[in-house]
Amino acid sequence: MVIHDRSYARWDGERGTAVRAAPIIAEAGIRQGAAVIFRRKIVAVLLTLWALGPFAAGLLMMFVFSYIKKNLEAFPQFEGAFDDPVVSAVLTLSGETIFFYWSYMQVFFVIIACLMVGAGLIADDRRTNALELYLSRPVGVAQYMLGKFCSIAFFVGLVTVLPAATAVLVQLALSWDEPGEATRLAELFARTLAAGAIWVVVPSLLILTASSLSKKARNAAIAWFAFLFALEGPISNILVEVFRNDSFYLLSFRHNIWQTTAWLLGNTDSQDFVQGVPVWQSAVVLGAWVLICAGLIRRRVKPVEVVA
Amino acid sequence: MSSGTTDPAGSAEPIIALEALSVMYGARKALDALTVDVEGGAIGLLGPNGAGKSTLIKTLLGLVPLTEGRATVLGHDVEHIGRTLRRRIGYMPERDAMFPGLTGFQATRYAGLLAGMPDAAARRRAHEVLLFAGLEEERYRDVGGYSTGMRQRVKLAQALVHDPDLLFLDEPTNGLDPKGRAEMLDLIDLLAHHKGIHVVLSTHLLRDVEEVCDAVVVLQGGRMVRHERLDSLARNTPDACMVRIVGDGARFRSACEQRGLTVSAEDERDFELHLTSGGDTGPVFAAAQASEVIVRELRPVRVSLEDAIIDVLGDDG
Repeated sequence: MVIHDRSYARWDGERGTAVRAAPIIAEAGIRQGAAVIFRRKIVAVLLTLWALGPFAAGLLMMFVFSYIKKNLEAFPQFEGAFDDPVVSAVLTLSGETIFFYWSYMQVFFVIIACLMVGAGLIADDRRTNALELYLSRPVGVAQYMLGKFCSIAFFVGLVTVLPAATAVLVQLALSWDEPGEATRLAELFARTLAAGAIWVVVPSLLILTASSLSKKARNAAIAWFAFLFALEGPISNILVEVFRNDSFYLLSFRHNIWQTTAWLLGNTDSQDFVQGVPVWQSAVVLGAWVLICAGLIRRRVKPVEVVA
Repeated sequence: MSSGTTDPAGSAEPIIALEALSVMYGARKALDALTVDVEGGAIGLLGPNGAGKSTLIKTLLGLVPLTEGRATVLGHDVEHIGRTLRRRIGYMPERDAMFPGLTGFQATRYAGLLAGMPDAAARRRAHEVLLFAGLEEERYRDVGGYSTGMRQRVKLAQALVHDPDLLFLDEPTNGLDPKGRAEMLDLIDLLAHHKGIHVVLSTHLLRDVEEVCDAVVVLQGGRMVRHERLDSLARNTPDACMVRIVGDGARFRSACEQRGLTVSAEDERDFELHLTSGGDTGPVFAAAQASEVIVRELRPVRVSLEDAIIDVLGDDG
């Protein structure tokens, strides 16, 4: 005897509208990524504090210093304190500050996000044959790729673009009564978004490519890390040293990201900017990598794997 | 209709229409010039392994590009509006397939969302179809921990959540125990014959088709060898009867063969005979009289779908 409920009712809902699958896939990917990160809750909380703590502290200092600066008559003991370079840096956010924040402080969390969240995004779907389920529904390959990209971009943006752009916006709000400063910050905000896009797009696409090439998240993570490490150290640096030619830096993702973001943030005077390599070359190399990655993912995301 | 096929009865609009449909996998022809109009109800897609059943389903879903010809499903050309069409189609793949890291409920709701359902409707339907599929207790467990039978059920629920008009089931009873198989076939029968959902059941298990389907499409080596209603398929197969005799079996056999009867099985006193023209038993009695044996029992042998299909496929099948 069949013991389960056998009722089945037809559904008379709307079927004519186009399905926008990318946001649905992105939301699912973000939930899944958060679940992976918070599998070990203490580690996740510590990582979050470490990743966003300096930003929160900087924001608080920005508020306090701004308040004191505007009410100096009430705080005579702080007379002259704003000449201090640290205080000055907090109060006058610049492209240099943001470049330093991303390149030296947040890059670690970009790597963590890519390894923990990005590595499994497509690899797990390939392992469990979920691609057949996705693509047998009204979901196109482009929508699937966009959804997965948004999933990892969310986490990378969370530790890069979001804090930097928020800090600039907050300082813009605090400086609203100073037209010159407000204009500078508005321009910096636009530059931050443009440079942030590079920080988000390049690592996210690279880890998605690695994920699409494997059926195991762990293998994808190892491949991604090894590839980047090889290009950063043994290959680009050694070639630069051996041939005494800075053009070999173009093999390095870090170099190309630093060159383009430094230029976008107006930080070309810093020691991290290699004067001997034109920015456009780095931009072209990054663009080529983006196209290669998108093409590779497109080839790997298919519902049927034919062994002819 | 291609040669050698019989059009099922009825004049309704075909749910699937193929015109010289061919699909190539590299240099290999997976489907070879299929031409058929399939009407609604429960359709069995039969054939040995590698016959092209799964390829045909994937082509109709737009997952595999067709090389030549034309295919329409529910009146829509699959080549041009495949994705829109998929809102009206449910698909249960043959392979073990699941959305990773989700519970049965989450996976079914997610399948509904991907099919274009609003969130509230997807949630409600996910509960309904999981109950229908018999996963009431287990719907909040991770699909990764499900047994084979439960995975088949959750795949069925995912295929049904958006209430399709046409359901493709690729080997739905694979890996199920006899009870699970019977329940799965009950569900399919209910959907096809009481809920107005057209079902295409791809399987190599003839009994599954025999229990559920109204018509069959038989493929072999990428070609269609038969499209027919089940009742007429069985009727078109030569009649047979079982005869029990008392007397000399060798003489009886010889007398039967002289009258054009084929002895397909023999066990001392029992003979299974293939009858000639329209099931006429006269030659049997004539053979008995000529060989001086007594006929103790004569009963018709039901021609199963299995016999009919083996007859259609020949020795290669």
